[in-house]
Amino acid sequence: MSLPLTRKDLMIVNMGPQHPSMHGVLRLIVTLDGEDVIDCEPILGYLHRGMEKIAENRTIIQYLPYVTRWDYLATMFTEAITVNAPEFLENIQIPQRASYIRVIMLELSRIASHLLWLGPFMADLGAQTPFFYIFRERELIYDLFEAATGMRMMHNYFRIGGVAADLPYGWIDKCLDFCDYFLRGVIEYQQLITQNPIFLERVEGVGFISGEEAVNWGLSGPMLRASGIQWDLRKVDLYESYNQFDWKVQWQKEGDSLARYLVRIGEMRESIKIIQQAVEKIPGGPYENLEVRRFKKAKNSEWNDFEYRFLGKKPSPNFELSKQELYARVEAPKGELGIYLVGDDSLFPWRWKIRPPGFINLQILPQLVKKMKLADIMTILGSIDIIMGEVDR
Amino acid sequence: MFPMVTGFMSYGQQTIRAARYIGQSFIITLSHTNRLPITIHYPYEKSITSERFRGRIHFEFDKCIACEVCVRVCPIDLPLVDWRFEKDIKRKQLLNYSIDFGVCIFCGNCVEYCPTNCLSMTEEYELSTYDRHELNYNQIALSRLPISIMGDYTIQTIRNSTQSKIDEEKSWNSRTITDY
Repeated sequence: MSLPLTRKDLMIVNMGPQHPSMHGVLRLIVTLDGEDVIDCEPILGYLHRGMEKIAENRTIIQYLPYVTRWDYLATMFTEAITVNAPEFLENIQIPQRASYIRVIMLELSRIASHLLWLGPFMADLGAQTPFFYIFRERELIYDLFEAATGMRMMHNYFRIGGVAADLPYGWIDKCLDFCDYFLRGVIEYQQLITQNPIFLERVEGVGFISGEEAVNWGLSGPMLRASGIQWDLRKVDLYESYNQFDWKVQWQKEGDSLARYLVRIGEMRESIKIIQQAVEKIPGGPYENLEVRRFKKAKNSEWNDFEYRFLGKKPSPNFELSKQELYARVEAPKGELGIYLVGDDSLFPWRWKIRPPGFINLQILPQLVKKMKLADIMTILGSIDIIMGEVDR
Repeated sequence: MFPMVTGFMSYGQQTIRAARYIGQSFIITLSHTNRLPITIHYPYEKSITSERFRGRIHFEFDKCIACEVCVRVCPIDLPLVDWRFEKDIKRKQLLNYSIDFGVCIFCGNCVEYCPTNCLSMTEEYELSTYDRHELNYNQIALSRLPISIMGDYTIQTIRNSTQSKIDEEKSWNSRTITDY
């Protein structure tokens, strides 16, 4: 029996794609010297479904059910960007109420995503209890989603120019109840996790990224904010109505896994703050922009004015994308989720480039795990927060 | 000799600290013993679906005008609309209509855009079969109403605590409508 003899009897270990802590189907080829990681090569593509190509043969309405399959834990964000890009391309305004509903849905989705990050991250570190606790709160969020949209994960709720349906009766109260309940849940997590010395030993100083490095690697979201850079697209881009709420960008300057944990926990609290404010002052009015189907010549009256005539009930299924291109982005829980959209005066987008946050954040992994121990791969990979559905698309 | 003693001392302190926090964690875990389980025994107990739940699609043959909007908004052009143009009435006559629920993803686009509301979402979600071709529903299968969960006496329904008594009456009324 002859094994390829390398420099110092290095061992090459294949982790994944079926490894439970690879968060899906990521495959890592890890070169080990004893317990130390010498090299790590991620291999992607096990969940590639050609989402960008599919978009080129679908109208936006037809494509909307697909998008929740990119990042299937932060489903509302994929829908938000899918409608935001054509909206910006065609300069479609959305009513205030629709914008508020979107904000509430997005922030609920952010909480759900961060919760399902927290559970597996702790499970990777060997703490199984939070994994069960998070599902309790997450289930409540999904109940809210089901009541409003009809499905727990594959909502198909956002439409060009608004949302598909208004909030059902009593939903607002249910949402407020959830906010109160969830704040107690966060306190429970923090008591359980944040000060725990075993947890701290595992995460403190592990996977350090300096601020400069984070920018150079193109990281975004909590990965970037944990390295001391206060960059949140909700503050920077002012999309939807995020500027009407009082909230702060969560950030830490340490740049290690613990900082990323703290940023995400803080973001969940901030999301609750945003939801509470949005629910408090949600305006009445239409939940859908009824202008989308208006004829061009009748566009004189001011939007939502008394004179304003609403023509269609639904945005047309034959929504045409004009021959322009643009890049639209939202702050998804994992980072900057963007679409580079090229229209071609037809129903189908000519190009639909997705910029998934997980994919860009994942590229720093080999550098982070080098010279660390084998067991730290789980911590670092967990703290990056990837979903293979959006990494491979 | 001296560094060894301090080493032992700090190790001891660390151990005590760890033990204390493990104790604190256990108190939180133990505080959960006092609550009811969140899960339900699925086949014997079922939670009532929300009103907007998107289950199997119901289709009314007589309402359909064969406009094929459902096909145009479907992500995979799934509904199969078989029609013939009748010259004497100058209308499209619908002959057959079928949806394959083995392929449908229940996105609800067809229901949303149907101009005559001949499509609707039911609360039926148990669609498992041994043969996938059984899931290809024609207009007759599509027009069947689902058995209401409330009407099934072998199943205990679990009500969400937030639902009020008004809801309760309403759902009992709907049972009498749904369940022939």
